[in-house]
Amino acid sequence: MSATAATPDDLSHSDHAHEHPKQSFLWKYIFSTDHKIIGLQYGITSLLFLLVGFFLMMVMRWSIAFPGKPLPLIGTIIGDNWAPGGVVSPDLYNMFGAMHGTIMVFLGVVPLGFAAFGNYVVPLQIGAVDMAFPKLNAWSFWLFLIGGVMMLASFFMPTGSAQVGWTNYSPLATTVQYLDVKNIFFTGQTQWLLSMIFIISSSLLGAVNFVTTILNVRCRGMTWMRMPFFVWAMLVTGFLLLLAFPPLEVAAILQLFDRVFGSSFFLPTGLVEGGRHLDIAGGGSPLLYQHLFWFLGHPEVYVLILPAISIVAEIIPCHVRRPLWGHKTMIYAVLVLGFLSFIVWAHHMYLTGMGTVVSTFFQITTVLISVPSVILLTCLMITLWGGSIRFNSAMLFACAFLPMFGIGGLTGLPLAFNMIDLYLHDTYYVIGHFHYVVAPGSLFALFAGIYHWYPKMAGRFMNETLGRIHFWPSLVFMNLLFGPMMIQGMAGFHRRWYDGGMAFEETTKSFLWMNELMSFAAWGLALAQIPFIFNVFYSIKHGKKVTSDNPWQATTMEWDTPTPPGHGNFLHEPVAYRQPYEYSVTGAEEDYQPQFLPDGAKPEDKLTHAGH
Amino acid sequence: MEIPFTVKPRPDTGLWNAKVGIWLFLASEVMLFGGLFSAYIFLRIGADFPWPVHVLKVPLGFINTFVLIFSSVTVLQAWLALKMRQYTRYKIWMALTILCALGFMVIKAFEYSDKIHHYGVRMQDGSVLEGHLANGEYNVKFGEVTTVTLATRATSKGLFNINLVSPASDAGFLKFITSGNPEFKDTSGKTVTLNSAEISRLVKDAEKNKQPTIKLTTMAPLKFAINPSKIADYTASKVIFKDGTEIEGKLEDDTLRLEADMVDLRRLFPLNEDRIKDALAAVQNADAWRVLPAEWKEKFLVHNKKETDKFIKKHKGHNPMENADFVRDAFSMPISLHADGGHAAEPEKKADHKAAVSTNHDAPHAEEGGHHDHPEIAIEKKDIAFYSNFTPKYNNYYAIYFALTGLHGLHVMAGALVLTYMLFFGKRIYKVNPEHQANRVETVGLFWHFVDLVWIFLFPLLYLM
Amino acid sequence: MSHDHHDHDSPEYLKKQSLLVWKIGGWLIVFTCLTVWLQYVDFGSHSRNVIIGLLLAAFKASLVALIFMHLKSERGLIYKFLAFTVIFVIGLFALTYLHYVSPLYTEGLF
Ligand code: HEM
Ligand SMILES: [Cu+2]
Repeated sequence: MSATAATPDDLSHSDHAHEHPKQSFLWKYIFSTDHKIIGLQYGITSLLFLLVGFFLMMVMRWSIAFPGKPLPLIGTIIGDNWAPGGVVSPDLYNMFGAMHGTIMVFLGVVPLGFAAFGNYVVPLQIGAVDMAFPKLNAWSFWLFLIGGVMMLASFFMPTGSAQVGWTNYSPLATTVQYLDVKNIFFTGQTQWLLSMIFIISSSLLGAVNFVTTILNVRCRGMTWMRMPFFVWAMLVTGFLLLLAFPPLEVAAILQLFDRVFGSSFFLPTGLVEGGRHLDIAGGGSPLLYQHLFWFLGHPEVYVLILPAISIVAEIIPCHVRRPLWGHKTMIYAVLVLGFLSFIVWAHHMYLTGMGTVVSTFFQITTVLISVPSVILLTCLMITLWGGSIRFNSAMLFACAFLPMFGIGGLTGLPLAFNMIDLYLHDTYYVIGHFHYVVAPGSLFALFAGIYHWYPKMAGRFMNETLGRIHFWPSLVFMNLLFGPMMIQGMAGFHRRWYDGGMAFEETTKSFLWMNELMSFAAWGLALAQIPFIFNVFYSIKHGKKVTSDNPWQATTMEWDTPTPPGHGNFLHEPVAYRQPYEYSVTGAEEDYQPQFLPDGAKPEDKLTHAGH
Repeated sequence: MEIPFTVKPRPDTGLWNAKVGIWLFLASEVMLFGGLFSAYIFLRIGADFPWPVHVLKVPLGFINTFVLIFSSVTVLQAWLALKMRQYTRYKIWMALTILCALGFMVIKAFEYSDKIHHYGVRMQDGSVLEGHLANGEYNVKFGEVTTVTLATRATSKGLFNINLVSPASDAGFLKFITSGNPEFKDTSGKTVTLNSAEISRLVKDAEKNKQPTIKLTTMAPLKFAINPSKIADYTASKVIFKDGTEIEGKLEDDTLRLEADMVDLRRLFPLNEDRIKDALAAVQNADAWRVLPAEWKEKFLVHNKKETDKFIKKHKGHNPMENADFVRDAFSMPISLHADGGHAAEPEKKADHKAAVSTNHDAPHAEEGGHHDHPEIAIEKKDIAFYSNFTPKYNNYYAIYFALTGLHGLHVMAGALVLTYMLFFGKRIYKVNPEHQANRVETVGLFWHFVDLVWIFLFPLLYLM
Repeated sequence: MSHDHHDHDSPEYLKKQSLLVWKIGGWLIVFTCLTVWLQYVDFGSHSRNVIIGLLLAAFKASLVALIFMHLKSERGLIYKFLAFTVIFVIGLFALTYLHYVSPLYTEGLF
């Protein structure tokens, strides 16, 4: 869809001699190496994956709210094997739970935040004609797609897909779908590992490309401190992906060895499965898997949140008409955050009985890492102070991001402490906590980004009324959905219960009614996304047309390009003349001084490009 | 507009793009192998079995080290030749580098196949016999097979009842028939001759009727010799294959015959057993001891005594049982009809007792067809706790060995591919801009050196310590 | 770490480099032999052999990195991110093993 959005009707005016006017559709939009097209490809695929992940979750919410009752319509479609009589079986719940987590994290939010927005916006913001390695960029997308398709195909293995949670802990992940299968290779668990290897390789290529681009392909005048916060955050995210993913790749490869070659990396001696002694050597360590997994796992949550928070950091100054408060502070904060995120991982493992020394270490670093996060959020809030805020859809989502992310972050603090985590670990409190970060947090920021950059991509604004119909119900439902989870969690509700706690009715009964509330909120949330989906398509052709290349009167370099930007992006050599957020500069005639504005020129001169 | 700094370095960073890119990539590779090395140490420290030491052939590893170092030199010479604009010399050095890569892989292939054909059997009490399978195979023999039940596994289905691959019985079991024809009667009395097409037709029909199994009776009793890796489970009267097929008959023979080249009795006594007398008593009670030919029992005791005396002479006042090296040398022994416990004709013999044991144990099957040097020992299935060839399954040492060298090998192959590409398709870019080609070769070269660098750690870690 | 590019492309300089590369290659072989030999020398405990072997390997690796991969004359930027990589690898190693350490229940592996 956005492929047509990017159709540069007016590209013909651009004077790039080397452009082939008659490139076939296939090469131009499918096998393109242009960073903007690749960004859109990532965007479309990841939004589709988000939808799939969302669908899985809605089925799970039925099972939680109405355990044992047949799920109307979908239950029968799913088939007798997984939903006998239309009732969601525990196995189906496990399968959907594992795949919801995996799809949302690795195929939804990360590709949307990092790869889609990063690809589209980063080269534009640093004044580059493309990424440093365009072909590698295309490879990265195609590897991602292969991984994603394999992940979806694993639903149709005889065993169904992976069922051991997105964390895929050994030994369970090794020993399920292990005995009594015809071919260990064609099992959901094995396919999960293989597709993860594709996804990881894709991330690595992408990360190399991003970091190289940012380090080496900045335009003239784009010094380190003139880079917008978004670019800084992407640089740090790139490093997180680059250095944190390989240990997960190791974990995946070793687990693959365990499953396919029968080794015992993560399998202790004397393991029994289904009453049978497994035919393995033993002597391995399940904890090794957890260490390798969480070495990625924690940096990964910053990969989920940094693109989001930095999109908000681009939107707020523009729609508040005030410079980003503490641009430099935020840069240092994000660098410290990136560093610390590598040495906090074992706070996910307090319950494994690890030594007190190392536990203390991880408690300290975990508390420390909250400091830069708080700095980032505070800077964004101070930026709002005294501004003249434009409340359009982008800004509404950006503003809602702040308290939502705030709640998510603050509820995480108690979990940093061993003593508290021993109680709260693996309860719905944790589910509520991190969903506040990734759902009304990351997702809202990503929506904001779509509303904000859509005019540059499509040449038209998204519809504001639909935007509001999207925003307000989403905000309400998100809180109805995740707020009660915290309460249930403190009451001892365990995560990954397919029946929402019905089996322990004695102790859970006073909180069971919340299940229905949350489930209806989830389905309401789904309805609230319909205006958004409609809006995206509708506005391609029918949105309000932009009259300027810089419709928001923004200051960063991406608004110096024609709309939409053609191959090669800029019509003249881009130069950064000043800091990225020069709004309301004292003494200046206009209330903003774009980064690409030469001294003495007026912003209006830069609003449109000749030939429009 | 072109992407800048593809050849010329960017003034402020001093680097061209690909150089930044490859170093970033190498940084992630450091994390990858870092993760693997960290797994190695974690597993080794936490191992609850005697970690194998000196079980690989050092000369091969040494030659491969030499090959890789040499190829690191040649790839640099190729790059320098480009810098000096000598294209022919560049081609020669590149070709040499690629040859080295191939040589490395060939040697690796030999090492792998050596391990794959070598077996270890752990008895119920933990004692271990190692060697080659007699006649190179081990089959579970079943006779008087009268019924075969094919499985449709109609209930294993993916989402929406879609299956991308079939979980049902296939024709795999037919190839294990050693006598008799695959002619059967089905429940309705019709005769069928099974082959791959026939089976899939039967399975499809049964699935349509929601029938989980298809029972067939043989026209005349069949005999089977089955590769155990295809078996999910078996009893005295029944075999269940991994694809769900069941055959009923009589177990005739599942004795494992091993041409043993090593007996290892270290796992018999707890790690903290500190009296050599008790250890020796345990040894003479071991399952492996029972099956060992008498002459080897004697030799073992002599061997043990010799090691003990040697140790005591060398380390007066120390308890030998506290020394892992001693325990290994004294309680494991190579078995070879020729080398006589073999303390002769070993090049590294002078060095140390450690070397002697390991090289011995490798020596016999280094010669082609040397398996007849070893006594054949029959081991009953009920005595076996676990057996495997020396693949990742055997223990975590071999697992991490294959994981590390396998990944490293993949890197070698990837590097060789890119080098080949640079050799045959570099001319075009060289003609346009020789410096560009030099940069490209430098980039691959950096990757290649990294591969070498990893091997520099792998060699001592896996072969020597 | 600035360097003059013309200087680095002169034939004399390149010839010298070529020689240096051969020399380092030779040393690497020598150190490999040393590594093998030292593994069979009895230092009293096996862990000493291991430590010596690893130190030698690290030395050889740094020769490769510094000279073959020209890190010796490489730009600061690369040092910066390699430094972080090394820190994280060490973190991964150290913290993973620390898992077993507790004053409460282990005399430990250390
Ligand atoms: C927007 C609406 C969302 C809803 C209503 C939702 C709901 C849920 C529910 C009900 C569970 C299962 C809890 C359990 O049984 O243990 C879950 C698990 C999870 N969700 Fe979401 N989720 C949403 C979005 C997201 C997003 C955007 C992400 C990631 C970026 C995400 C990541 C996860 C993960 C990682 C798990 C854990 C899976 C596991 O147990 O292994 N979710 N979510
Ligand atoms: Cu964490």
